Amino acid sequence: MRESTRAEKLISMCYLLPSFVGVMVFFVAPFAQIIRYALVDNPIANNFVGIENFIKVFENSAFRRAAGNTARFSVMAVPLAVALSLLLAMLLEAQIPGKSKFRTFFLSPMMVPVASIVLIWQVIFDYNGALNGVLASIGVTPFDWMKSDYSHVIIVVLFLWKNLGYNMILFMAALSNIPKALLEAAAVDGASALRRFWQIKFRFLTPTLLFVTILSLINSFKVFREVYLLTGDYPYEDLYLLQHFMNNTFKSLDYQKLSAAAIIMGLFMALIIGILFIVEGRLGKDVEQ
Amino acid sequence: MASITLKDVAKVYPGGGGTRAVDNFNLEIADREFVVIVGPSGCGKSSTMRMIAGLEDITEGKAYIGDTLVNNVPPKNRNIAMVFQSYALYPHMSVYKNMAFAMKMRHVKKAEIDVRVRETAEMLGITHLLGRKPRALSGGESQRVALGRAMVRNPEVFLLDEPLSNLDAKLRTDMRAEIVKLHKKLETTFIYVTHDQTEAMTMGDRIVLMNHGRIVQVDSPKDIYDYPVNVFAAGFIGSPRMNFADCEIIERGGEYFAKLGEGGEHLISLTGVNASRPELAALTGRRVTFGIRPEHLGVTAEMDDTESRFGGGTADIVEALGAETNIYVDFPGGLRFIVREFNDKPVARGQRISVDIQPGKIHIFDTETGEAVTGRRRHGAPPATEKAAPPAVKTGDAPTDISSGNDTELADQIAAGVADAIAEADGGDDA
Repeated sequence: MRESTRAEKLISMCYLLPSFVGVMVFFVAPFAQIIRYALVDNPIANNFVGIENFIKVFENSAFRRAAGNTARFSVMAVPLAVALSLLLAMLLEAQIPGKSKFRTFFLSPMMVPVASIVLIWQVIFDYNGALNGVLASIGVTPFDWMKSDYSHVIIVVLFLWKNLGYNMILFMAALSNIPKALLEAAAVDGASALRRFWQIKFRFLTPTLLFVTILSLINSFKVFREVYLLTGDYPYEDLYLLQHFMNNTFKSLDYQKLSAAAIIMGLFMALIIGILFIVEGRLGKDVEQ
Repeated sequence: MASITLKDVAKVYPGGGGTRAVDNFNLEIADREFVVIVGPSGCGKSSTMRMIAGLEDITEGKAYIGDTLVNNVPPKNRNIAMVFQSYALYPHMSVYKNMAFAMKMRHVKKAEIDVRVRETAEMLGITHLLGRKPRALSGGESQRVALGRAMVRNPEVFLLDEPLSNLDAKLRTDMRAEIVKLHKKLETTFIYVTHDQTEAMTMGDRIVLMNHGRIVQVDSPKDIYDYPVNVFAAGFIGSPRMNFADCEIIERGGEYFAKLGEGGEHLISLTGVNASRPELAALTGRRVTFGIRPEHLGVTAEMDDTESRFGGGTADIVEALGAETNIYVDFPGGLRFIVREFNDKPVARGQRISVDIQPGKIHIFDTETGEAVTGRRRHGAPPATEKAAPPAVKTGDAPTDISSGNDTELADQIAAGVADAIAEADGGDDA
């Protein structure tokens, strides 16, 4: 019995080994390396400098602008993505005609590669693009959308267009898992539709809300890809995001600054996600099956 | 307090290919009556209740609570309370908050809510649970809380949708009795949906038996047991179910007989059955369905073929349940009947036994239509089908109250039926 247990352990370890090696090589080791880079003056001299790199990063105006822009984008885009996708899911949950067509419509951006999406948006918002063409025809002076105060809004819309469908599917699944009898009991008990939403549905949606929020937050940091493809290395200053900063720092081989910025960003995200987990723990603990 | 009237009510679900889940449903439920809607799965009983609750739209017909047409009245304005099969307790609220929720929604003052919640909790013996969350409750406790939540705001009508089906057999028996007691105490109209005939027989003033979306029979439990209107009703109510056999009615020397078995081996006198001579004469020479409940057959002296009124057979399976024994008997001519024996006569498997029959309890059904030929006349009631008017039932007058009935034989039979169903424990009596 003892022998077989040992053999079983060995076998299970063998199964785990490839994944373990993968995680160590591609996640843990680089992460450790980043922490090391963030604490030294340069990767060759390797002199320990403490938090000097972090101070430098905070003092860097490009970082501050990038962090500010990213935060502004996330604060706008994430709540909108969560709220709109929930709204859409609830609309599609109701018996409306053409339900499946709507669903496909909102999911279609997921099927299109980012490069193609960006191409479409370029066609629309370029100085010589479709939108300016339409505006010119009604007498409005064309201007460069991606270099205007509207650029932020355009990126938020692009982000929503790309992400709403997937979030919506997650919410639809969560909505369909709410016990119908509970909503009916609440209806019989005299709760209005709004009350039923806040008292029952919202409680049951909390775990999904958390998940969708985290997912949207992560995706909001990744919107760089679209912005980069639309505007290149140095976009209009309102669109200069954290990943632009990272990308450009990487290109200039300033590993210390890059690592410190990455750690700051990582800690910040961990903090937000931690807070979300606490909220979810409070609201969702009784409703999770 | 309120009566309920359903007139020509029908339910058609969209996308169901026009299938009528409930059809031509006419029923009047008196104020303070306890009506049990019973039937097999998918017979439309839950849809009917949900239409009364307002949780489903009424496709056709009219529903009244009291004198108010409620077709377009939302559930919250119907002054009904519903107990769900899954209890549907709000998982994130304490028992207290669950019970207080409906009153809170109606802006009842906090002090009054508190008094009523505590009074109700006291009545149901759940005061010690008030601070707990639903997930910390057992099935029985959840059931009580669900009842409490319904009771606490004094609704005009109680709707109970299979509330006991998630409980174990012992708890179910206890709760059954408690709900009946509660009905007496609250003096409110109760509508109870179940697929369990034992619950139907023991709880309701009247039973509404449904099949394929339509009412089959509306009667008191006693009458539905004694005078089933068709083969379905006869087979659904009673456990073990009624024995059925094809037979031919013949006349011999001015007397009518039922000829049973492949070769007509059994000639059973129909003297004493609940059918007139002209009725029997009309059936002469036709194939009809013969029905007899297992408890109306009995084992007589061993190998006593000449004396017996039904005949001799071989005991194939013997189920000794303690108070009674169900004996599956194979008779000549391919007949297999269940005999329910209350005496303590030891019968062994494979033993030849002689079986007696109570002729007054024989049921004859038209094989083509399934309708009962026997029974209704002595009963003296109007044909109790869809349009039957409800008797003026007063609380406390429950025909199920077998202890106060004069017909002790019947009382024994029903009690035995219940005992049997309980002995069969979980779902064994679901016909």
